[in-house]
Amino acid sequence: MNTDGRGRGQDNGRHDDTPPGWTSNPSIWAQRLPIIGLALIGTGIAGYLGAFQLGLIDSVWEPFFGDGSQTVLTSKTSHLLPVPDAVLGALSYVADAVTGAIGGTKRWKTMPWIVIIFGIAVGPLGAISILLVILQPVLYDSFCTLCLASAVVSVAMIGPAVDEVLASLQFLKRRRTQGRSLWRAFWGVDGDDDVTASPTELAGAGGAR
Amino acid sequence: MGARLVAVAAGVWLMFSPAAFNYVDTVPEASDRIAGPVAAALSFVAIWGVARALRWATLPIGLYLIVAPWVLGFPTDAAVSNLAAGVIFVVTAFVRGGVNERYGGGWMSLRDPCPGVDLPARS
Repeated sequence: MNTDGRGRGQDNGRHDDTPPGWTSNPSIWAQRLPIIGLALIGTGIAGYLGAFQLGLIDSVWEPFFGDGSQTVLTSKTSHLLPVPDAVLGALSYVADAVTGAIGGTKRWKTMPWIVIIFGIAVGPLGAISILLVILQPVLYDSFCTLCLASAVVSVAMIGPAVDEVLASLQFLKRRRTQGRSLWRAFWGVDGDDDVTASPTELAGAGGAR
Repeated sequence: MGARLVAVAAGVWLMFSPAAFNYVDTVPEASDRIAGPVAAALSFVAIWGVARALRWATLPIGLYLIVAPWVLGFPTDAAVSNLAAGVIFVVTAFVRGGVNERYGGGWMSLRDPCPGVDLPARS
């Protein structure tokens, strides 16, 4: 469905559910499955480290930094909260995988709420991972190989995840310009129609002429 | 992408520089081990086109690394390490690199009334 020849910024028929002005749909499984895979890897790493912190296993694999992992995983920082930090990390990764998996390939416009929650789960988790990596050597003079690996996984999820968040935010902005309910659009109960062809669809709302 | 990888490598290098040049337990160590992972993470995320603008966040970090050795009085090894990484962060911030995808005008488009859609030119 090539549109009206103006072309630029429009869906060139590649995919019906591609957001306007985008070259690909950020909600397709080819884009989301790798993120879900990373989240599951993160769950495995953090779950293993958490099992050590909970005393379920006696030692932890550490090929490079001597007793570094031991020092980091039993530090005061890692036990600031009632639940050890790697256990919380594992739970966060599960949240990433679940919120990454919910919804179909149109979810950037049919379920903005889950996309936003997904973005919140992925973004701050990555930030906290980096913070913990910084604290390890500065406070305890130790590195922890699997903690570093977990941080890399967290940060690697951010780039591929935020494009979907951007698509949802742009969609919500278009809804508002159309004069339609932001609240209903956010919860996906306002239909999945979108401005795809001509700006005249904006029905006289602010900005269109 | 190439510029981002160079910046990531420079950030990772800063994390290991204190051990390599033997200035652990000093102010330069703390400085490097904070600036390094932050710059590496920002550069890593900026590999993805939708987040490419994040590369600018390494510019102030680079400027700091260039200035810090003089202000905080680093040993020579640490100063060289900081200068090299700092110059890399400053230079690579200006290298945008290619982005194959389009994102409806990106994050700045959220200020437009209708992101992703070309409105007719005002006449």
